[in-house]
Formats: sequence, C-alpha cells, structure tokens
Amino acid sequence: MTGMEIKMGTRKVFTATAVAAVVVTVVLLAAVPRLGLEGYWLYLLTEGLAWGLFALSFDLLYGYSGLLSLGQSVFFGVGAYGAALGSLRLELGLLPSLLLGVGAALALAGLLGPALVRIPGHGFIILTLVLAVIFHLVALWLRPLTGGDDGLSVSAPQLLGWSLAEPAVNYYFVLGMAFLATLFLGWLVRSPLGLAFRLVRENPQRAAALGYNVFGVRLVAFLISGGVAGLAGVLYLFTSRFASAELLHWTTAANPLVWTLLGGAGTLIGPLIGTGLLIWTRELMSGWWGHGYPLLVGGLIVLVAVFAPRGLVGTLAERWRWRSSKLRS
Amino acid sequence: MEILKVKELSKRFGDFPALEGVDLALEEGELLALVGPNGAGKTTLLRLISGELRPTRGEIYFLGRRIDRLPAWQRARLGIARTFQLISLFPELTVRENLQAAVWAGRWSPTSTTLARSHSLSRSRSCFTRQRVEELLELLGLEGKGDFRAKELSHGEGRLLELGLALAQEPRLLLLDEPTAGLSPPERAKLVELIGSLREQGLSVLLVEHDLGVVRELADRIVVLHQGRVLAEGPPERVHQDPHVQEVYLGPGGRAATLH
Repeated sequence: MTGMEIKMGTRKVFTATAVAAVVVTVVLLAAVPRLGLEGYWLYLLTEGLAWGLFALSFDLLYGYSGLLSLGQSVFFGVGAYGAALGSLRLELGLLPSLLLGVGAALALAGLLGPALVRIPGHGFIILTLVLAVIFHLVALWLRPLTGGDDGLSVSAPQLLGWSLAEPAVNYYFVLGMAFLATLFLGWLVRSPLGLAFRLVRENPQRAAALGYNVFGVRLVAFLISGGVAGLAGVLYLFTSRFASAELLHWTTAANPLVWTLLGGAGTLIGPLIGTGLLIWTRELMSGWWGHGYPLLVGGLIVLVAVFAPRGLVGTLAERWRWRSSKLRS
Repeated sequence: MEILKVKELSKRFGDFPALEGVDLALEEGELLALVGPNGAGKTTLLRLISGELRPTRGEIYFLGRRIDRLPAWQRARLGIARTFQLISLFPELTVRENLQAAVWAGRWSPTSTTLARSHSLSRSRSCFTRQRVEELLELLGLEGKGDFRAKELSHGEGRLLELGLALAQEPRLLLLDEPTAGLSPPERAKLVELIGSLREQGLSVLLVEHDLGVVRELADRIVVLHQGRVLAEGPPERVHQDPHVQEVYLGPGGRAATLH
C-alpha cells in the first residue's frame, strides 16, 4: 500500500470512529429518561447540557479564535434574563422567549464586540472581566427589573402542548436545542470561516498578509460565541426556572474556562466531556466533602497543565496523530 | 506598464528617519532587487508597500491605484503578497491547511459575504482547492509533508512553505524579504531556481536580499538603499561599479563577495 492509501485509510477510520461515537452518544442521551434516570440526576444532566453549550461558546472564542474571555457570563446572563422577562413581563411563549434571549445576547455582543476585539491578548481578558463585573453590578442595581440577588422565578412554559414541568420534556427540549447548536458549531469550525478563526489565533499578522480581515474574523467569532452563550443561558433558565444577578458574575464565566481547559480547548467534544466530568464530580463530592471540590479542581488543572496541556481530548487526538504519522513513515 | 510606483516616500519612527523621500518604480514582469546594509530601510519599505506600516509622507501606487491608506488585508486582495524575513507560518496547522488558507484567502471573503457562500464552497471549490494545494506541494517539493504541522518542518522546508503561502495567493506583485536567509547552499540553489522560474512566468518581484550572489543571478535591476535614501539604481553590472556604492555599501575593504 502506498503512503497515500494508508493516509486515506486512517483518516476514514478516524472519521468513522468519530461519527460512530457521536451517534452512540446521541442515542444514549436520547434514551436516558427510559433507562430509569430521573429526579435530581435527570435535572442535573439537563442543566449540564446547558452548561456544556456554554462551554462550547467559550471554546469557540478561546480554543478556536484565541480570544480568552472572562465575560461570557454577561451573554449567558442576558440570554437567561431576556427569556425570563419575555415570559414574565411580555407573557411570551417558549420559542419567542428563547428568540428574545438569544437576540438580546447577540445585540449586546454586536454593541460591545467592535470595541473589545480591537484589543486582543491581555487587554481582552481584562476588559471582558471588567465587563462582567460591571454588568453584575448593573443587574444588582436594576433590582425592580432583575430581582437582584433574589432573582426572578418563571413558571414552566409549554412546548406544542407539552409542559416543561415534566422533567423528561424539559430534558428532550434542552437536548434537542443543544444538539442542533453543537451540529451548527461542528459545521462552522470545519468551514472556511472556521479555518479563518484558527489562522487569526495562530498568526494574525500573516493572516492579514494573506488577505484576511483579522478584525472582521474576530468580530464574527465574538458574535457567534455571544449568541451561543445566550442560548445556553436560555436553556439554563427554562431548566432551573430561575435567573439571578449571580449568573452575570465573572465566576460564572470562569466555569467554562476550567471545563474547556480540562476537556481540551480547540476541540468540540473536549469541553462537553470536561463539563460533564466536573459537574458529576462536584455532585459526587458534595455529599461527603463539599469544600474539597475547589481543591480537587485546582489540583486537576495543575495536573492537566503539566501532563496534558491540550486537555484530555486534545492530548488523545495528538497521540493518535503522532501514531498514524509514524505508521506512515 | 508600471505595476508599482513609490513617490517621495518617507517614514519616521519618532525622530529617526527610516526612509527619506524614496522614489521607486517596478515594471510589470520585472525582478527588482533591493539591497543595502542593515538598517538601510529595506524591510521598512517592504512593510510600507504591504500595508503593515503607514507612511509619514509620500504615496504608493499599485497598477495606477493609490494604496498607501489601505489596510494590509485589502492590499493582499488586490494582488500583493509578501514573505517574511523571520519565517511566519501557522505553526499548529498542517502544511496542507496552511496552503489551503492561502488559496482560500483570495477567493472567499470570510466576513463581507455570508456563511451560505462558504457552504457553496463545499463541492466544486473544495475540489479546486485540493487540486491547487497538491500542485503547490509538488512545486515546493513538500509532497510528503502535507500532513505535518508547520512547526514540525525544518528551517529550509519552512522557507519553502513561506514562499508557497505567498504563491498560493496568486499575486501580481510578490515582495520577498530575504527568502534565502539561513539556508544551506543546496537549499539556497533550489529556492533561487524556484524564484527564477517565477520570473520566467512573468511575475513581478521586489526582492530584498543580502546575498549578492543571489541578487546577481536573479535581478533585472538593483536599487541600493543607504540610510533611508536611494543611493544608486540600475542594472546589476553598473551598480556594482558605482563608486558611491563601493565606498558606502561594500565597505572600504571591498568585501563585495562575502558581504554581510
């Protein structure tokens, strides 16, 4: 066999494995309520899907486009509040509230993005952090609108006659939306625009010399990421039926950073796995040693940084690449 | 026809005049070599033409169109490609992805056009891209390296890919900033042959080069820069005999052959 054939072979095997893994995962996730998972654990899985999507929004911006944002909580929170106010004040249905939440997050990203993405690197990290602090304070001040620390509670909305008060309905709704959003992101990162994201991350000067509008590419990444974070916020809201100012706090934005670094920045599967693992661990530990969780996360991050700087999935993928390239030569 | 015209171009960094009133013209299909000692302003001139720097004074025309206020990426879209003195690639991406990015850059606008258009790229365009990328790999002699990450390449291979990215843009004007720096003699010979073949195909090239052997072999015309000004200009033989050049550029010892 020539090298070309082997290369095509490994690539096909890789693609087939990936597709099979995704199908099995989706089928398993779809079957979860029938497999007897219920009550608190089903709720946790539903909420986890929303948080996983939030991690993907962070990863699109950081892992793919090289912009580390500590202000993603702003878009998550605005999405949640948009949907909450839509259903409480405007008495909108589920989908209009969802669109309102995502639209509000997108509009805010469009307003802030042009100024923020002009300052990449450390400036961007600090400015997004400051932004999260400011928006948290604003949400506290606007207590009549946001409920401040006490937050807002919404009732379970209806979807085509089914009530999201039913945990399984809630679960399938969130699973469906998260699945569609993940498919979109998967397509996006493989499109020419997705390649442009990585070019701008790797070497903006050269990308500009090739004819890429670096500012424009960064802005598009920021907008899409803000919109996806907003959607994650909406899904979270309809699951927990509660939004408070804390959602906008920068510590909310620090979560997807940790999940993404653990799972593997610059991959889509990685952040989802990282989110699942850490939320599950937190719940397991809360029973016997709640204070241990932050310590464990801190230790894990150190271990990952030293032994698997690309995160769990990133490091495995690199191994695979290395092995198949040895096979070739 | 003049593909590039530089008029009265000046660039100051604070109080330091990097370039002072430089005039320069490049005919279509010509290979012009820009030489001069370190700090003469060669790379500054290249960066002004490519758009990384804005001039303090003066004008730059590309195919008769004034470009000195355009951002770098728009100049690249007009057909100006450059290589960098320090190899500048996308290190974590594969060699194929590096070339793909450069092939796509000129054909597809990532921001001004819609996502839908990037989707229509899927069939016929990706076929075209794949073919073009394989052609470039062959031209560069990097056939076996397509799936390597750019950071895994040797220095010589990196230099080739550096040139390959600029060629993938299918430019009308190619700016080369010391393309042979750090290469072994056989690698250098290969690159010189490649650049020579580009000239044969009628590509206009502005070459900044320290190695006078390379310059003598390739250049139709030479411009000598010294302390930000044009010191001499003309065909290689005449410039080499110019007394000013011999004195200032080649040094009192006349170490012409081993300059640098």
